[in-house]
Amino acid sequence: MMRALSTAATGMQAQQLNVDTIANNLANVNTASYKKTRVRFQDLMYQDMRPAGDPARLGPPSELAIGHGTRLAATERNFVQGTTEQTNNPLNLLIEGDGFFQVRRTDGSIGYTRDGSFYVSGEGAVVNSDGLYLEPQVFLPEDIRDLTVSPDGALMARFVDSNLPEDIGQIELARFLNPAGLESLGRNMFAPTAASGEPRFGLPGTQGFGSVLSGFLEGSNVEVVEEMVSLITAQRAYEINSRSIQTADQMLSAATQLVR
Amino acid sequence: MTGGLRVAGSAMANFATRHDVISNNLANVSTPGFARQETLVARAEPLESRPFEVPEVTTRTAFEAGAPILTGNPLDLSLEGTGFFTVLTEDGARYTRLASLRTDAEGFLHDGSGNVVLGENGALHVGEGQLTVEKDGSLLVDGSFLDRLNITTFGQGDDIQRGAGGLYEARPGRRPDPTLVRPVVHTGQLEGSAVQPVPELVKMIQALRSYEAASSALRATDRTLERAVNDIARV
Repeated sequence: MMRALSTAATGMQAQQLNVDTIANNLANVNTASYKKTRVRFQDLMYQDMRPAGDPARLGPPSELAIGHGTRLAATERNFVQGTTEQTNNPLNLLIEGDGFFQVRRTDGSIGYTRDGSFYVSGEGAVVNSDGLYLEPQVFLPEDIRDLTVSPDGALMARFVDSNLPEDIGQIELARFLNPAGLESLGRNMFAPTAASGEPRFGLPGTQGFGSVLSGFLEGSNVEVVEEMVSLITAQRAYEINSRSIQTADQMLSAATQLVR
Repeated sequence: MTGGLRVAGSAMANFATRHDVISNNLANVSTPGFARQETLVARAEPLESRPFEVPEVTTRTAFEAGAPILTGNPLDLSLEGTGFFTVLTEDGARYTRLASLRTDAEGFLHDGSGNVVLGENGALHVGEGQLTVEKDGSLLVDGSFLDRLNITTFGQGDDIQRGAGGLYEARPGRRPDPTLVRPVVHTGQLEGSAVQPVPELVKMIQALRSYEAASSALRATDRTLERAVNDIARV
């Protein structure tokens, strides 16, 4: 049958996945620290029906190489800094620059996240909104007031009976050579893979690590207008490919009518 | 007797092939760095000597740059002018118009599809440093010079052939021409697909109608033959 039918079908399928990705970005336009994803298209293999420069043929080099459409090579996450949202809660932390907070997941492994909305649990531990412990663990004593987090990640507070701020914990960040290679776990968390490399740990504000801003949260980095433009482009590309299928169908119908 | 049938039939096959190529162009309307393919119809022999010789379709890659897509990522590169980035795949050196430079887990630069990007002195190790790319293709890590991107230029469009994934390879026996002007490297943008939907749709309509015309010609020939076979002999 006609190659064009399957070629155009690959185009439609790829555009459909493109729309799925855009929809997911738009659904997460208000998700704290969400990082937008983009699909990457690649052309499929070319079939050399008649390679150029075939020694058995005379005349000018003439090739006939027909492509088989497109495919999605990858979805790529864009780790550009998201918007800054002020909350005034001292345990809401934003990383200005590179780095991830570490939380201990229920299975014991470490999840990496840029969502810095932390809370104090009943037992005084610093946990994230899912109740997962911040790593390295920080416990807040009961009789403290005026909790602050400095840009270098130190948690300082005054004890009720004293006026001097004291050091009660330290936040450590992790970073990766290739953050685009991280695996998304959902719930704003990422896990390292062979592509991302092993995490490197450090204190906020030191060699390559971003500093911590207390009282702020990182918003989503999705730009609605940009997504809308992509959505329109994807829709039209889908339609064009469907037209291509219709044309191939008309050709086949003209061919079938030849037989009387 | 059946020469006319054969010619009209292969004309239909040729227009279907044309449509295959147009479909592939349209399927890649969003593929970054995609270069459009054109079809040409060529007749090898003069018409008089072999009236039923069928012309054949050939394809050619039109190397026109697509409109840039602004990504804002300083490590997304595109080239202004003819030339290619050089990457190393499992099958050897390949050329591409597209480079989303990324560091892999060991700190080497790759092109976003897992192929090693080559500098003039081989693979590029960036490590954890801050990479910046200059217009002439120089790579700076934390402000100090590392290497220059290996940009390959070819004298003629048919020195290279297409592979999958936006990669090109040199045809057997063809060599790059390093004396040509190097293209300018732009950062923060990728080369878009060079496919323009409207001209492709126009060509698609042309292919369809030509196909239908050829099928009418075939049917007319068929009717003529029917007359010859069934009616003329009748007394």
